[in-house]
Amino acid sequence: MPGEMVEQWLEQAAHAPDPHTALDYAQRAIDLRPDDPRVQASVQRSMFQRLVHDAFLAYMAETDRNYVVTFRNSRPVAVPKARAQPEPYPRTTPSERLWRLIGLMLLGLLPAGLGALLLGPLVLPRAVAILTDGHSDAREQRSAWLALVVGGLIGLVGAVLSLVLLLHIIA
Amino acid sequence: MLADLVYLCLTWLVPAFVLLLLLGPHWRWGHFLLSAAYFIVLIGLGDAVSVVWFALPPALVGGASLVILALGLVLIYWLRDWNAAGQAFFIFSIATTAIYLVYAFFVTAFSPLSPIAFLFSFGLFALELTSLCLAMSYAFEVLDVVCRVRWRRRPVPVPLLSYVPKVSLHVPAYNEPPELVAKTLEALSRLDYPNYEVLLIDNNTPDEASWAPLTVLCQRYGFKCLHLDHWPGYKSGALNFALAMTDPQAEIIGVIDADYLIQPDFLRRVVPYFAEPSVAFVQTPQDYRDQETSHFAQAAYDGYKYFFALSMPARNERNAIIFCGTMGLLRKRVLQEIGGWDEWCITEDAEASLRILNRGYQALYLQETFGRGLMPLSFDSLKKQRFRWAFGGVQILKKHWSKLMPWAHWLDPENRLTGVQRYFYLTAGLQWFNELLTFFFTIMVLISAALTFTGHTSLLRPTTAAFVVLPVILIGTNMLRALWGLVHSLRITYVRAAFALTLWFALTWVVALACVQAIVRKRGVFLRTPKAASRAAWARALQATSLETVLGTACLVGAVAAIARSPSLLAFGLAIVCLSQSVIYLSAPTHSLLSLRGAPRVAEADRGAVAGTYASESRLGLQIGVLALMLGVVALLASFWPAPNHTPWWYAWLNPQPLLNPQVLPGSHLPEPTGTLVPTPGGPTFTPVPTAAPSTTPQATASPVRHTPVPSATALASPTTKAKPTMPAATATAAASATLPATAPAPPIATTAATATAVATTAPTAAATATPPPTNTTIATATP
Repeated sequence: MPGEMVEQWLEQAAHAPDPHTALDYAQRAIDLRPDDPRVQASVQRSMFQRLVHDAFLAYMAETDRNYVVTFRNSRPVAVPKARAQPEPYPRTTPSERLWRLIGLMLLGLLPAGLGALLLGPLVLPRAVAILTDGHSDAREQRSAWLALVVGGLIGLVGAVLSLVLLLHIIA
Repeated sequence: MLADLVYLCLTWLVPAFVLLLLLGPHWRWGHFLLSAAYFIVLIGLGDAVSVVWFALPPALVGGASLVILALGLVLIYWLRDWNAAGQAFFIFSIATTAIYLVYAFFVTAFSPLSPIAFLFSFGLFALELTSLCLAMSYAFEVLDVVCRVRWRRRPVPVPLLSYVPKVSLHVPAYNEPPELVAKTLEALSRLDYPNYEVLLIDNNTPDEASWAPLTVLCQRYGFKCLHLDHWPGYKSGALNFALAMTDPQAEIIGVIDADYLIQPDFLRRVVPYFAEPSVAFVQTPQDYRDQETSHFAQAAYDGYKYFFALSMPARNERNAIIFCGTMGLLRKRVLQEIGGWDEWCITEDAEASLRILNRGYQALYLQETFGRGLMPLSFDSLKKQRFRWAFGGVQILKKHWSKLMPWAHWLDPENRLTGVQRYFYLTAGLQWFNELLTFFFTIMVLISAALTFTGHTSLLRPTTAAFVVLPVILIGTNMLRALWGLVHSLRITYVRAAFALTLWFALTWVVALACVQAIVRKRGVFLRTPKAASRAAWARALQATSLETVLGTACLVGAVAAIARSPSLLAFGLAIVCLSQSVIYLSAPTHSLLSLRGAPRVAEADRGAVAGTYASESRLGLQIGVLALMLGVVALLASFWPAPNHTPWWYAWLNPQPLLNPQVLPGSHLPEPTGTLVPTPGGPTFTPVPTAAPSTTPQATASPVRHTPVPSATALASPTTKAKPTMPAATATAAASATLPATAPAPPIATTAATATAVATTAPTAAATATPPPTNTTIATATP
């Protein structure tokens, strides 16, 4: 059983003759149960026993759950991250891209609304695509509706400003 | 009407501001009824001045007073923890700003300008709109602390009882001198808290000789030490690994910079607040210990303290504080829950606090110093540090803007940020752009100066009296309010506050640069300032601020050029603006040189130095300079686009003058509308002269824009307007006398209906001085 195996590896790590061996045992436990605080404590204890003589630790790689590091001239060692997955960024959902366009529309108000008017027609098909996409979740759908409304309002302001510009052109 | 409202608002704002300066910090009680009475008295005072002195229409004054009274009472209730002086000033500030913006928009949109001039002027209006909104947010922050009479969320001391969780203190270090870290570790070893560990994380220091002594130091105190080599993710990457290496028993994490000397009671006094499970983090002020060494250090110190004396208490009242890293404690479980420090962001501490609050946790700000660090040694280091902060601030905004929108909760029901929290985090991000706006404004001012020098003022918006008076008052009140806030929150003198303010100015360029970089870059970068070839300290100091010096000098040249070419009021005003901009940018070399003076400071590491990717300031400055130059050339070429040499039909049709009632100053170019007033039952209406048809009025077909145009403006005024002049004689006289020497011949003045009427009917002296004799026959046909 994995649980029993973890207990055994931890027990062996606790009674290992040297930090290198202790760390080897702890590494086996990490593979089985990386989120267990006792496993983490065991890894840390072994690592700090080695680090006390040489604090050098080099980054090699990382996965969602572990860091892979190395001491000076050592084999790779896995260290549990012990935390949740961070928020992905930049997000690339369709609604995020749509809102980026809305942001550009807002900037497009600066040249007397011309930019907003030009970009406005691009918002509509993208929003409709999200709304009609059966795979998009409720949040995406709401975001698309909102983008339509906000885009429409910015477009309206842009239209008014462009009209004023037109008045200055035809004067 | 809008111009009248502008003046009416000013009669409210100015006394409210004077009373705020006198009473604001000392008025320590508040009640809704008393505030309402104070507010009504101020409105009445302003109304009386408006009607009696400025001769504004009583109906307009009364109507506007009722509107502001209704809105004001709502705001007084909402701001019920402030004293009356703060409430009244804030309400009048909002009203004045709003009216000014509407007025500015209408003048921009409905003045007969060439299309390019309209675009240029609209850009200026956008700058005004954004700057004034940001100024309001600054005003709110200052008033919220200085004028607050009730604190509802100020933490009360909690003794350390049975709750003694294990605390893990993380000390990140990069290229730090061992003697500096030794002091820090020694202070940490003296903490009078029974259950803590210290983890020193040396992050990517390239030279082993620099970090190796740290391991010895840690062994001496029984602390843990890690040197992380080639570690990604900046400081946050290192702190995330430290989190993985933290004792699993630890419940609380603290981040302490390597130069901080902590008081022994830090943990004993702060940890007990975590007994309340909803508290996720507690922040205490970051303080410094080397501010006495020079004027530069003093100014930097006051600038740093501003945030912890004003911004943080205001935020704490709404559970919207920022976690600032050093001198803060954080619940480990919460940090793990949000996924640790964000390695994408170079101000990971502030970013983490937003994600924590988004989960509905509480945060506390304890306004008591528990540790002191070192400030940047030189202006160069300060620039690098400020670049990093601004860059990180904009990064946070880029990532989290959607969480801060009013509709965020509707989009994502898991978003638990309150409206006020969203407001504070949004303004915290947007306020960085204030400096970028200042930079854009400088470019526009320089272009305006160049246009004035070359005689192409037609690209500029008509400069009305309100455009001169109101911005001066708004800028003046904002500056004074900032000084006042510094003086009363930090208990310093006005001179010292002014010095701190100039240091903020000095960092304008670098913050603007950081904003641009943060917008265009996907990953964090750090600033590399220009390096001098010379070994002399003064040469290095000047070289580090070479771009600011160029900008400041250009503004000075612009001021001289504007006056030299056409010594008009417009040019004079432009010169003052140029000078104010030059003060902003020339503050940088001044402070850079000042940082060399004073008592020698501890020769510690460069506080602005970090590990990461760097961007060259010289290269970025060159790129932005080329863009600005191109914009200037385009503006110069565009200024050859002829301005309308007749009154556009739409202008006459819309007839915006009764609404605007602007008094145009000399040097501007508002052509008067042409047409006739037709008496109707509902009052006289304006009938435009069709531009296609031959006009009966001389100027409709042939007159240049800046000819002598006054009388036709008189023709526009309705009898009602004539009977109730909207522009006071005193103001008209003042404007005229400010414009011209008493003995000088009157230059051509493009003025508008009500002003001219006011001048003619109520201020014959002013009219005689400032307005030329009627030359236009329209008056005879148009006046009913």
